[in-house]
Parts: sequence; structure tokens; C-alpha cells
Amino acid sequence: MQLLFRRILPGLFAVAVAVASGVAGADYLRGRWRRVSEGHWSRAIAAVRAEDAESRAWSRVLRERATPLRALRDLRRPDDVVVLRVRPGVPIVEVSQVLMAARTLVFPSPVLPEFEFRRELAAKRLALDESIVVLDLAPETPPEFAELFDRSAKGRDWALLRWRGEAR
Amino acid sequence: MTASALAIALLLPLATGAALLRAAGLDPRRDLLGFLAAVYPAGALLTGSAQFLTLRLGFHPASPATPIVLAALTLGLAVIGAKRAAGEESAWTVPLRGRGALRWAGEAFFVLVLLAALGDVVLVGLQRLGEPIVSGDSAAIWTIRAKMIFAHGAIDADLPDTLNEARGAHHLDYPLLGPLLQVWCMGRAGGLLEAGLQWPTLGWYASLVLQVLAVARRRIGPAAGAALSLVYLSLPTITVVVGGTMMDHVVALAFLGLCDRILRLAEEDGDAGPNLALLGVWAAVLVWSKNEGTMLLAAAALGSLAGLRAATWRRALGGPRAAWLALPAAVLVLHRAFNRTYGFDNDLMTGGNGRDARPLPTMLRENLPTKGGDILAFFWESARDFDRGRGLFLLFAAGVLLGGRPVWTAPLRFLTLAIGIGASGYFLAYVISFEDLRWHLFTSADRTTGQLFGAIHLFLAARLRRFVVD
Repeated sequence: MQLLFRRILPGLFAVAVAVASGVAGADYLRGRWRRVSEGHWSRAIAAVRAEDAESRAWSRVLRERATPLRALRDLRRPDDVVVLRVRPGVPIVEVSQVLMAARTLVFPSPVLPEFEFRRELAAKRLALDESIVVLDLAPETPPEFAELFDRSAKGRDWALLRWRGEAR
Repeated sequence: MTASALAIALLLPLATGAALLRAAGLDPRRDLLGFLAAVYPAGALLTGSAQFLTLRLGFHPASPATPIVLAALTLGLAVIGAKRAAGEESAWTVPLRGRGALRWAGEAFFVLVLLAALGDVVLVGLQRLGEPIVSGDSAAIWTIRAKMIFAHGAIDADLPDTLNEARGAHHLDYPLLGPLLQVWCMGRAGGLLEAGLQWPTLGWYASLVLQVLAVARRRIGPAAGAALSLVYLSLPTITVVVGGTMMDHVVALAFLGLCDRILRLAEEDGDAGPNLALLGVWAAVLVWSKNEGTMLLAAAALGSLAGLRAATWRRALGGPRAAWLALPAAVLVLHRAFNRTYGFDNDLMTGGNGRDARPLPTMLRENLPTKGGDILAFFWESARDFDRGRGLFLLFAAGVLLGGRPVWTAPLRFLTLAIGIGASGYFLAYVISFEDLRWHLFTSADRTTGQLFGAIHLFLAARLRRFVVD
């Protein structure tokens, strides 16, 4: 019994850790070698050495996140009305992410509140049929905007909004 | 962000951190990796504190007030450190195990893994250079709060006019260390930044890599330590989390550092003074990084009370060095006072800010039967998925079940209990969650429970010590 508890079982534990280390280690070192051989390093260094590194990084973000967001960069202009075109079929989770991104990027301009409807939709990862969101990024957002959005979002998968005299 | 602004934003906290550690009596010649791992966290803690102080005094973040305070602090600490070093006799010590070629093969493998892991940090840095924080919790919780504080320019009575949920920020009650470090970066850049806000993240990431390797090497030597560390370093959640400004890996790092120093105090590994100083630094970082940090500090405290001998604490806390424990206490008081002043509540503890008006015990009692099974099922699914968690929870469970008496004997018993209590804390947090359970688990469980992985890594190293060293 003493042999079992003092030697065999702890030995099994040590073997389990060794096996996990081996599998994870092989995976890790293979992955790092792949990064070198597939040019991740050279691309990253080239991007940094480019004159407009920040602009290139922005371009990459836009490219990687081209859907669902089309006009991310424009969001930096705080007085614009920006239209986010969301491709049909994009999971609502991603749309929620886009709105978060928009909100952070346009700060300190006020943007619409989206968390009230996020929970019920995000959990279901619903696909969208028709999705255009217009954000008014003027310095003062009237309270009706939030009310309008809340009302539109209720009972629907998504809201089609227009703003500033445009039809909705 | 210009190169000089970036250099100040990164190098000044490093200098301050190194000065603090030297003043506290840590000697890099005795434990180089452990020292290097703690440099940025110690510096970030002081940078965040100095940033908070100057904002509270009304200095705009772009003013030179914070760098001046930090530089003065660094100078003062460096003088204390130099005086202390003058009275010390110390030489470089690198504990080498084994003989001849085998020993050097082990060292070479360790260096290979160290370089590969630091290479990950550099690659993430290169890839993220200039990239804006645009999505997920990084944007909605961590970066927007930093931007709001920077835009407001002070921590004063009017701060809630800017820092409020109506303007789009979430979880205003979350600890401020992460946002303050971003404010620091924006201050050095001289304006609101889109790019360059994730530089503090890289400092934390490098520290995490060094700390993971340091604790394993110290306990089971270079070869086995490097091999074990690969389990942690290959976690997919690391690269996800370090891609933004979230603080989950900081919680993991600080909990690992805290548990390591408690264990070393109990094992009488190194001088009690420096160990206690770092214990204080790691605990302060832990509670100022995320709310889970406070829970994990409580788990470590309970684990220590139940898992260590009273004599350990009497020996460790004797004399003025116990004052280092005032560091986490001060941060905790500051954090609570900030939230109380501005009325920021933890939505989890208040049923979604009152949406669920039941008292906490009632919530727990009534939710447990309906949610408990689903939460455990999700945890189990996550634990057995090697691609997600590298089997670390299962290895911990195997260690507890098969590890024999040492796992339940002081000092390792402390770590067994701290991890177990911490895991129970996450379970209870999901039980009282007002969010849709599936959504909440899906979006956060792997990331948050992964905060325990560093301590589990330490547990594995400590338990394997007998096999490797004896």
C-alpha cells in the first residue's frame, strides 16, 4: 500500500506531466519554427522598417477586419456621420465587436449605447439579413437617439437606423 | 508615438522597478531570472501610483509631473539600493545541476526555450506596433477608460462627467492599473493615442515568460524546468490576451509571483526580507490589475492560513520587513476609495447593478441548482480540451489525487488550497452572474480561469522537485 501511494501513484503523475510537456513542447517548437519558415518575422520586421509603420498597421487592421466593418478609419473624424455597412450573414457577435471598436475609436465623441441589446443577441450568434447602422458622431448626441435605438432594437435581430433627417 | 516618447514610456518604469527591487534587497546575482521577471511589474506599480498621484493633484497627464516624480523616486531608491549593496558580499551564482555534457545540454535547452519565448514577445511587439485597440474587452473596458481619464485630464470631482457608462465605458469599478499605464503612454506621446497603448502589455508578457521559466528552473533545474514551462508557454490564451490591453495575464503573472514568494518564505529559500518585499509587490499588482485579483489574494491568504505552519509566518513577519504588506493593503484601500468616491459598483456583486435585487446568499442558494451543473460541464469540457488549456487543470487534479502526502503537507498544501479556493471562486462568480450563462462562460471562462495556470505551473514544478532533484 505504501509503495502504491509513495511511489506508483506519484510516478504516474510525473509521467502524465512529462507526456503533457512533450506534446505541448513539440507543438510549441514546431509552431515557432513554422513562424520563421513562413516569414512571420521577416514580414513583421519589414512592416516596422517601412516609413509609415503606423499607417501600415492601420491598413492591416482594416484588411483583417474588413468585414463587417467597412469604414473604421473614417470613424476617426469625429464630426462625420459614419455608416457602418454590415454584410448579411455576419454573426451578431462580430457586429457587437464593431460597435465596441467604433465607440473606443471615436471617443470622446458620444456614440450609441449597444450593451442593452447585446446579451440576448450575442448568445445566439444570430445571422443578419439587413444591417446598416448609422452613427451620429456629432459632439452632442440628443437623448432621442438612444431611445430610438432601444425601441428599434427591441424584438428585432438588428436595427436599421438613419439619422439627421434621413429616412429610417 | 515617437521613439523618444516610447523610450521614456518603457524605460523609466523599468529603471524605477529595478531601483525598487535593489532597495528592497533583491540581488540579481543570486536570482537573475526572478529579478528580471519582477522589474517591469515593480516599475509599473510605481508608475501607476505616480500617475494616479499626479492626476489627483490636478496635473495633466501630458505634463512632465509624472516623469519627474518617477525620476525622483528612482533616484531615491537607487541611493538606498547602493547603500545596501555596499554592505553586501555577493557573487554571481548560477546553480548548475548534473555533470558534464548532460549539464550543458540542459542549459542549452533552457536557453533555447528562453530565447524562443522571448522571441514570441518580440514578434508580438513587432506585429502590434502602431496597431489600434479596436475590439473586445480591450477596447470597451480597458482602453476607453484610459482615454476618458486622459481626456478629462485629472482625477477630480468632475471625473464622472467623462468617465461614465452613458459615454460607452463598461465596468468602471475595475482596478485602474492597466488604464493608468495607458494614460502614462498617452502622456508621453502628448495626446490621445490610437496606437502604442499595448506597450505595457508587452512588458507584462515578457515578465510572465521570465517568471514562468524562473520558478520552474529554480525548482527542477534547467532542462526539466524548460520542458515543463513549454506547457504554459504554448497556451493559446496567452497570445490572445497579450494582443490587446486586457489584464488577465497580469493576474496570472501576479498570482504566480505571489504564490512563488509565499512558498519560498515557507521553504526558507533566500532571505525573508526580499521575499516579503516581492510578496508585497506581487500582491499589490494582483489587486490593482483586475477584480479577480482580490479574490485570488483572498484565496492565497486562506491557503496560507490553513496550509502553512504558524511558525512560518511568525518567522517571516518578524521585524520591520512586515511593512511590505502595507503595499497591497494601501492599493486595496485606494481602489475601494476610488470606487466609493465615484459610486462605481461591481455589477457581479450587485446583481447587475440592481437588476437582480436578491441578496448575494439568496442568489447563490437559488442559482446553484439551475446553473451549477452547466458551469461544471463547461469547466470539464474546457479542462479536457488540450488545445484550449494544455491539460493544466487535469494535471493539477492528477497532482492532487496522485501526488501523495507532500501535496497535503506544508508548505505545498498552501498552494493546493490556494488554487482550489481560487477555482471555487470562479465557479461561484458564474453562479451569481446576472448575465446569460452561456454567453458569459463562452466569452470569459477560458480567459479568467486561465489566471490560475501560472500557479498550477508552480504547483507542478514544486511537486516534481522530488523526482527531478532527489
